Amino acid sequence: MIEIRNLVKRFPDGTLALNRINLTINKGEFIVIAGENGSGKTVLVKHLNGLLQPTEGSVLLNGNPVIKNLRYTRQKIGFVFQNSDSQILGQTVEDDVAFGPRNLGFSREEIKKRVEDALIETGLKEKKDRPPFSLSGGEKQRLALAGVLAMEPEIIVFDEPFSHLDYTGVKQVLSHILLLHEKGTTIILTTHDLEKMLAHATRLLILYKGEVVRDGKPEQVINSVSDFNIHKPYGEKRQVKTMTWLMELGIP
Amino acid sequence: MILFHYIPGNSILHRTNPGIKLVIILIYSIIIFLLKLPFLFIILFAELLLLLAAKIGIKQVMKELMRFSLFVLIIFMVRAYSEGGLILVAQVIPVPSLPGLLAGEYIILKLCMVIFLGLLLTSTTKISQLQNTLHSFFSLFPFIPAARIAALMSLTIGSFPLLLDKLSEVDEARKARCIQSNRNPISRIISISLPLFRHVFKSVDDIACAMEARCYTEEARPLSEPLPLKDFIIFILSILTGIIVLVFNTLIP
Ligand SMILES: Nc1ncnc2c1ncn2[C@@H]1O[C@H](COP(=O)(O)OP(=O)(O)O)[C@@H](O)[C@H]1O
Ligand SMILES: [Mg+2]
Repeated sequence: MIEIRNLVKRFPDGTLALNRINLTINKGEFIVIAGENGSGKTVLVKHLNGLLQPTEGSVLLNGNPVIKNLRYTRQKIGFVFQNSDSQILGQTVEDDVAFGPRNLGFSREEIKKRVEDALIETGLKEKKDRPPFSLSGGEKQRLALAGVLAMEPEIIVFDEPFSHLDYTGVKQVLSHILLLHEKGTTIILTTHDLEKMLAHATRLLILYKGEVVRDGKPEQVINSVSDFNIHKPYGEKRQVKTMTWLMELGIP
Repeated sequence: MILFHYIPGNSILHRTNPGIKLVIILIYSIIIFLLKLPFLFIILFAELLLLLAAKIGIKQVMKELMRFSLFVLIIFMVRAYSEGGLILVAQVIPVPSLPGLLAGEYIILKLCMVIFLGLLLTSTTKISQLQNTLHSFFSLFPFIPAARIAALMSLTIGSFPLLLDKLSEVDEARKARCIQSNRNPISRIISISLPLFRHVFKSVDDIACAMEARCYTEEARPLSEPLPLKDFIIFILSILTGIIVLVFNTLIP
């Protein structure tokens, strides 16, 4: 469980990126954090695993302050970044996935097993010896996911995971996310584009100019999104359950 | 871009111990600068063979190297003008002297050869292996923060392809906006270096974030087995060989 209390983030240049955020994220949720560009989504999620430090307030993971338990937090909270290129840290697919487990100091056998499992789960096993930069956009994003899965986190943060992906890429990555959620992983996903996956979310939170302005069930929040410069998926009286690019799952 | 990226494979070089490769390459970079022309060609030939064996596309490599020819050109000019003095023709057009020019030419050949050596190492060695080897090597000496040095060195080497990738990105962006028609060399250089540094700092930031998020530590568990003692003996032997060759090279006129 993540608790954010009175979180304020002011950058040295004076930008107030987050203003008094109070938020609790429970185990098993699939929370979508939506907001226009510059609303503070990335800054907010970077506080969850201590990549940024609060100016005021605190972030707790399972009751422990994040900034005092970085290693613990980063193992429990996996992070898939927006730009898949700069999160590639190994020179082959296999090496990249091993990066996290190696840092956590597992035995060689354990590392091997975790890497293998993560590669199978993301469907990248055949490509394990390929250099990552030769993969497609969707594959790179899956590689980033594999690197996170090998650390066996409880919570996974996806920061705009679809922004560089084509239709196929979105469907692939989205179906992985759903699978993980089904298995009990807590999912935190930021986006400015709700049409691709809102149907699967359990909660929708809207960030606007660094403040939480709406927070609730997607059905309740969806009608006010355009007030905060977020595109509301087209269609009069469109139901939330149709807002997915995995049509076969979205429409019952 | 394939320049300085790891290229998976199974050639002799891929299977050779990274530490030994590193030492041999360091030694030969020095030797190359001391050798005379016929010997240079022999080594160049050997390099090309090894590049072929490692399945590194020489054509592609040459094409990518051409992009960085500006660097090479600058070095050439500096050498050509400094060595053997500057002869002024009609006191207007400076023309480099012949010996200066020749030294300049050699310097290009030699630079290319050293770049090839670097390629042979980086294309066939995973940074993680290299780090591992450097770590074991520095651990031989007391009072040296082996893990830190190894991590630093491998990070430095690892960021080289990043720099080149960014360079070619910026270069394309300039070309798309007609940099060719700008004849002012100063503004051309500024137009590539400023965006390049901004890009690089941004990526370094992103990568540092990604590393932290995956619990980066200098003491990460190596994937391959630690080096057996035998490899260290070979390692030290190759250093000695290098020194002996150098001594001979200076003795012979
Ligand atoms: N390192 C930084 N220094 C100063 N301002 C920053 C920094 N990082 C982000 N910001 C500012 O914080 C605000 C929120 O940014 P961000 O979280 O990246 O938005 P987004 O919702 O698009 O992810 C923006 O106004 C941005 O300019
Ligand atoms: Mg963002």
